[in-house]
Amino acid sequence: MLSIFGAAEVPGTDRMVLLFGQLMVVGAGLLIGLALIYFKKVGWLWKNWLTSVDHKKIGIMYLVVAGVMLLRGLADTVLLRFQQATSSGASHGIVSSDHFQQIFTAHGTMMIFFVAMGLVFGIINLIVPLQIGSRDVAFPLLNNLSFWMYVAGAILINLSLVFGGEFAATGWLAYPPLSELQFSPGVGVDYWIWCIQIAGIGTLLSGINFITTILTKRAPGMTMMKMPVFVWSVLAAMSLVAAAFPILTVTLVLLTLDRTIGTHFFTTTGGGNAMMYVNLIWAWGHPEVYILILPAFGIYSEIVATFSRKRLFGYASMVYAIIAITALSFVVWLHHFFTMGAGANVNAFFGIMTMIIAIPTGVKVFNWLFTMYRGRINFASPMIWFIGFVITFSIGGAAGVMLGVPPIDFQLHNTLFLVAHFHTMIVGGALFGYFAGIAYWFPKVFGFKLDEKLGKLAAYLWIAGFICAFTPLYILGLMGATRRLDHYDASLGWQGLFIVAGVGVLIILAGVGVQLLMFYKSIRNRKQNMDTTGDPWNGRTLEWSTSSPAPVYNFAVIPTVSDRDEFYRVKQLKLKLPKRKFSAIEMPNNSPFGIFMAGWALMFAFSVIWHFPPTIILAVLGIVITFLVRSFNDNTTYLISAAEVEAIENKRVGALL
Amino acid sequence: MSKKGKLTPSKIFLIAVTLFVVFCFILFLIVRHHTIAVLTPRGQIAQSEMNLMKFAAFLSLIVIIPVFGILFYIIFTFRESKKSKKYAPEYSNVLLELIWWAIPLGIITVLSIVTWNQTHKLDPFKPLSSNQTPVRIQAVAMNWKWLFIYPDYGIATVNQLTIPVNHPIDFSITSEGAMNSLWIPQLGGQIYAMAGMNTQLHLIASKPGIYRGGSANISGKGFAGMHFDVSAVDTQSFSQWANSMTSQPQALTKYTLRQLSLPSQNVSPFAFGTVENGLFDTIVNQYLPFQQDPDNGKTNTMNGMNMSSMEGM
Repeated sequence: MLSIFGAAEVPGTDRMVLLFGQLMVVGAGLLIGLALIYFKKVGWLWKNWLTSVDHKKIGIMYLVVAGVMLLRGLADTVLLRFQQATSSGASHGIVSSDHFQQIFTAHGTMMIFFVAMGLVFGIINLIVPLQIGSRDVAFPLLNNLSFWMYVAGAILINLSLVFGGEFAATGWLAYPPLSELQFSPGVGVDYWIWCIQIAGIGTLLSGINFITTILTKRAPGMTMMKMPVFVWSVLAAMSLVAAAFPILTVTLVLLTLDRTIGTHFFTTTGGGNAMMYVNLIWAWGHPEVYILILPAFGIYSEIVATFSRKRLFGYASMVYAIIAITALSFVVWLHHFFTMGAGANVNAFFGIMTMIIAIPTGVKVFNWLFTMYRGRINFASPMIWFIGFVITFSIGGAAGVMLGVPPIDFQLHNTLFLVAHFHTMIVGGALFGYFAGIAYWFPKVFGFKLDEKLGKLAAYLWIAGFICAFTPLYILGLMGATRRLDHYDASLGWQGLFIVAGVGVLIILAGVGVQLLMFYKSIRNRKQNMDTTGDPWNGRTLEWSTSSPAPVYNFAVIPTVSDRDEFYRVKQLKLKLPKRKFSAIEMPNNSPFGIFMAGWALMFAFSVIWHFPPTIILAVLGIVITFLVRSFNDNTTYLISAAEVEAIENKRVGALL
Repeated sequence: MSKKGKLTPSKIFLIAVTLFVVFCFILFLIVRHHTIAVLTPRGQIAQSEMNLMKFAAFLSLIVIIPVFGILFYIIFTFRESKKSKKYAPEYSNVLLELIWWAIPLGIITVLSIVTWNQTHKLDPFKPLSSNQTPVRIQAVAMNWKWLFIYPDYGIATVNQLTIPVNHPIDFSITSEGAMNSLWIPQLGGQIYAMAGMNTQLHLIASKPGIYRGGSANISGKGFAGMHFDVSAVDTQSFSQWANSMTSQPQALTKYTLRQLSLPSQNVSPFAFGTVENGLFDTIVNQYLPFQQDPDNGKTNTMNGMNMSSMEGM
């Protein structure tokens, strides 16, 4: 049943919270739309951005969407923290238990799939082709499609708030039988399934795209062991994407079939087995954690070397550590449910495998530290994020090793200790890395630096807020507080700690505010922070050898590589820029293919959720026809003549080298 | 060297440390009168699990303390402004690398051996050895309350558990609906409750007292209310309690079970004075494609999917 403003029997404040959320989503959508029309920017946006197949523009769009979704996920965080800080004893907080459960489910789904993944793919898109000396990714059109599938998923999760006013209330991995029709008859779980399903297909395509890009589009001379560590980390993460995301797709399809046509894969009745789902979802879910963290490891490796003015310590060790982590990440999934009771042999095996991951991870930390050793460290804002990372990550890693021991896990599983642990890894580990990466590569992408003072202040606030928000959760877990409680007894003495955690979130919000201010101020004062050299940090790798922002073709002449830190080597030689001979460059045309395909996919998903066959058929036809039309299009590239290239290069060349 | 009013690294460091100490003190003030359940074990299993936790934490510190030490030493020694004479842009050292492959390897090897042994020793499915007779309890997670059947006493309780101190408690656990997890932190770790499955948990209380238990896995709307008190009492009081419970008027039969399994939230504790035989097995086996004989109450020989048979899978 379609009810625009959601379920009827929710309490007053609960309804206000929902209504507020709906107004925010609708209002933001309308505002953006009207602003575009008013400033006559629709055509410009369509031509220069939305249909673009340029990896740099796609990267920027990923970051923008992920940023918006971060704010959306943070709004959920505030509600969660407010509920738990107030809902003790006689008070039941501001939202009903059902709504609370929807909020934390949405929070988890949003933060993992639409914030963390968006930031990862944004940064990868921006940097990988530049770092390997390539003009674009292997499949630029596919790249645009991936981005739009991601956006379609993001739109769908927000639509759930407006149409139906309901999201899954099952936790972010929607274990059956709770997520089956029997216990979740509404459209919430369907929204959850389809927003992830669509975004997940985009992710899979992107993974294949970047594996191909890295394997085939490297500059001549860049052997595998001469690739920057960031590229290695991306290759590893994308291999995980290619291997793990099909599992997610299939698992979601099976759950969809259970819910829509009455199969019994995971139901309690009819021979279904929910334990199978739990295994499958974590066979994807654990590699997913490394998909998020490995690129962050890569970013730290680049940053530490650059800002310490030193070659990365133990390059080979770093690469082997990444490969080891990649391989091991597929044999640890059962540690997410030791408590299912698979028996001591099975539990012990997976526990030991889990701990073994700590070895290569520990090696990486020491290698970063010794990259700084005997260096000349410039503590720019990326380095502040890095220091915050080392501190939080060490603590979180120790907590992880503890959770990896099955008998200890029996006492900590599904507690707030666990929640604190994985937030330490994903926020303190991965997210700090993305922020560091954004600060580091921003001038390369936009041609001017971000405000360093505000950048550092934001980092300090985030780190302090993070410690303040999550230390109480470790303690609460030890006190016996399980996760996802919308209410608890006052006599337990948990409330004080929940309030402290809430204060921590406020400090983090202040950090986010400073970040927004930083973007605003940096853009306003960009004339003072221009990067005319293309190399504002004294960088070491190829992306710094081209101008900031890089021209559409990235490199007028593809460089030949003979060192891991190729650009550093070239700078040491102090060569004068030779007179280069330019030739014409073939680049891919923009195309609305991705936006149409994702639009059809969105229509398909939305129709399935609401069981409306006519638009399902229409969407399928749309997908087939769009695909065919594109297949018969021969006009897919354009040529930039040698004279044009020369003109562009002459404009910027004075500043370089 | 520090200019007035300028935030030097040492000042930032000092401020951070001070703030952190104040922060820890605040946390201490908040927590000090309350029980940190996992760290105040009242039974052998919880005790062993806590000891293991302390051991793992100790091993982790062997890595964490040097990491922090090295981090802060490097931050203060090799800043650009210090113009360190030891600057070596191409520095590498294979011996050092080998050392930090070796140290974590050593620590993890030790921890792995301990893990293997302790995982077997503390396997929740393994009965506890004791000279006292074990008490069997069949726990059923329902939407949204816990039903505890005492098959040897013919009684059952809802959202309340009474157990004798120093007697092993043998839990058989299943669920009537969504997945839950039975957890009594002061007695020991949790095991999932799953529909159509029979999982095992063996705990023991060493001291009389009231301990909080609950569900650790999200199971729907009333999930937060699925907690209960465990009263651990001496053997004699337990027998008296069990006897007195038999006089409770309500009887747990297939019919009342169906009523009980209807969704309800924040259910106050109550008890059933009589319990129909084999009810737990009926609950576990209800999803099997072939049904048991409804009249004689004898359970199906398959006994659900007994998880213990999956051992060594």
